[in-house]
Amino acid sequence: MTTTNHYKYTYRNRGFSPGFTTSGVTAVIFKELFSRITYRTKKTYNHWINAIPVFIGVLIMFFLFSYLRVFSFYANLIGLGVMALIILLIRRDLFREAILGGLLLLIISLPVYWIIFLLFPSWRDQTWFADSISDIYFISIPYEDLVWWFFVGANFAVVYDFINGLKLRKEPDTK
Amino acid sequence: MDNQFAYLFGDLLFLIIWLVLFIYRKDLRKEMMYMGVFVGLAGALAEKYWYAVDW
Repeated sequence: MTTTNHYKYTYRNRGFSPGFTTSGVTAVIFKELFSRITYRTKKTYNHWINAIPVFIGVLIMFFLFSYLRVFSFYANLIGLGVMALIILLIRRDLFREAILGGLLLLIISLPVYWIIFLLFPSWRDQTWFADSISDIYFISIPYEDLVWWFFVGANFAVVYDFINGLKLRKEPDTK
Repeated sequence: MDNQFAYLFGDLLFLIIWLVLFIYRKDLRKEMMYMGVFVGLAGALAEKYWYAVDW
């Protein structure tokens, strides 16, 4: 794995709003597009212990990045991957939502990139560190970003349902 | 345009989708708000105190 220790301010510093909008969209986009509603059964439950996979994932990311100095892309992928794996091993019924949630967030992100590229032509050159990323691009976007969006989306799509013990069922025709 | 607004602009594009879903799916508003506030705060705190951008 690549390790790196050069940090500097870039235009990728984000704050509250990207997390707010992307997580809100990803949590429900599958349910809207595939007409799903959530419900609880006696078998599913809402308990703080359901948040443990999230803590494990975050701890893994923190440990890899802050202590082992692993490149944050890999630290993110391993942490998010473990989080999703634990969730989906416990709740296999959420598998489809996780995969499609990841793909949908990835797909939604594409036009956002393209519009930003169009309106801010020099942003791309000021955003990624050429010596850190693989330099492999897919439709003008570094593959690291696309993979990262997928992993983030797969987790965002199911984590609320998992923590709150929610199951999905087809929405009735009458809304 | 100044590049410092690029991310803000990207956020606004996501916000449009967010608003459509929020208005259309009343039953999922709580989920959107909980997820948004939690991840938004986590992202802001992580950026300030933990993660530096390295790629």
